[in-house]
Amino acid sequence: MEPLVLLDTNVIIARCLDPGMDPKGRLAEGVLTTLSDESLVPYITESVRREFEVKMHHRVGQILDILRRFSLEPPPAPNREQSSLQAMENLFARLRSDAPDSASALQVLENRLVKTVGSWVAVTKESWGGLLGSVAVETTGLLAEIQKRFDTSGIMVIRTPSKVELERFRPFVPRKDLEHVALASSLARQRTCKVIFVTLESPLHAVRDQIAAADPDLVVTTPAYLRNQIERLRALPA
Amino acid sequence: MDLRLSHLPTKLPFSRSAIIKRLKEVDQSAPNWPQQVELLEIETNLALIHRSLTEKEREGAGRSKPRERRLKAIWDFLSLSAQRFQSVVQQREGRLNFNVGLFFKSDFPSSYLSDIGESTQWEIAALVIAANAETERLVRGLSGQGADQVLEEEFMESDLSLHDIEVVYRDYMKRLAKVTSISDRVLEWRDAMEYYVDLFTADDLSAFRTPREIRFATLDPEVFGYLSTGAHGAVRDLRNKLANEYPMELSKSSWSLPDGGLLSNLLLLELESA
Repeated sequence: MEPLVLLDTNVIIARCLDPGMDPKGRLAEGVLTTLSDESLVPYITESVRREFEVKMHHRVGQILDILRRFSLEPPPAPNREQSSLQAMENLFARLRSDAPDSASALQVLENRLVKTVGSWVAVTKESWGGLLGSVAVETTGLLAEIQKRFDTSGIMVIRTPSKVELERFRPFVPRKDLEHVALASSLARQRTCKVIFVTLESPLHAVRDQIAAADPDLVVTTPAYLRNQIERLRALPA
Repeated sequence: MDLRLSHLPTKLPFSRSAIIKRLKEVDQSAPNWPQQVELLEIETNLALIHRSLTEKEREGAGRSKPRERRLKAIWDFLSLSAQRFQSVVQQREGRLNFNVGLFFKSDFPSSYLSDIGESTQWEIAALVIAANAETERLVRGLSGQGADQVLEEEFMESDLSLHDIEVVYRDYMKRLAKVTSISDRVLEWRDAMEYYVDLFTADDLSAFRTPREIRFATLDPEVFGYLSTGAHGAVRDLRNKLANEYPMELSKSSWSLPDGGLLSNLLLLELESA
């Protein structure tokens, strides 16, 4: 029986990394290679695509918000008490305590800004404003680059089935994965086939037995077992 | 302009003619006015050359052969088109910078700038990718050489018939128009969004298109959401078109980001929280 293979959001995010850069990026690259070797199309549900886009817009938005907050602060100019980098550090520390929800965005921005300001002889209002503006533009380019990597990955978005049953999985599937799992189950029923849902996420993999008990046609697996699962399901009688 | 204003789902606060007049004034007093004039001249010349390429050839004493004239006109058209695309890209980058300034001064949701930025980045990418790919296809079709290598003399030596030259040129225009019609929609929605936040918060028209502090509370979130949805839809269509029509070119293209680790840091962070 030919299985339908669906990817989790974390797999497509990892796929947007340069494969050599991170072990998860390599795993995601491996998923696509396995599927290509097995002549299977990598699919995602509409819910995964939406989660991916929303996540990226949200994070980019957080970075833009931080840049705006920086633009309202005096530039980290050196003075008798501190260097530019010390002023930057103080600025980041203050924003971290003022906006704890933005800690991740601050972390992303910190290296970028420190690297440039650290290379300057002097920080002026104009150069600081120019840097923040150009990083804002760069950040929107970042969003487009990630979208491009997704668009050229060969991953297809599968049409959402008309009937989706969430309740069966609600007691044990993490909330953010509930829609993805319910859609995968509906697709298995609609297409009368086995569905493999590939995730990098331990909490979802940890409840795979409960998911299989609720829907025997749905197999949650990680990249390490993907090839084996494809072979196993193909060997099952139609 | 009418198309852009027509995306606004609410009555304009000033008359259409007054808005257009103000936009003209702003254009003429902008530091890049000479570049805008140059762009207008390029577009006029492109229209004239295009007309000469599509109308029936007239034979006349002293005129060069129709095939030569067609090839020369196509060569000139491509050279001017390259200048036009460069100028349009600079203009779009300028607009994006204007919006960054507006965003920094105002309290809009960050989605405003990410929507404006995303649509600008994709519109520019579409112009560059489609123009390069179609120019390459056209030049290769006529001369058998790549657009980067061919010299004008070699291009003029094309051995295609007049009919075949016309077919290749028409195909170029048709294929390019399929992309630009979608990228124009992206521009329309982005302009509508820009005009909405700017026009509907201006006390009088003299404030329109000036960088100033804008309070989000003075805008209607529903209109804002409607325009954002429209822009997202247009960008989605453009991305699909590029991925389907120019997959290789899109793969090779890259938003050249400085080596600040911004991209990898963001992705790793997302992965940790996914």
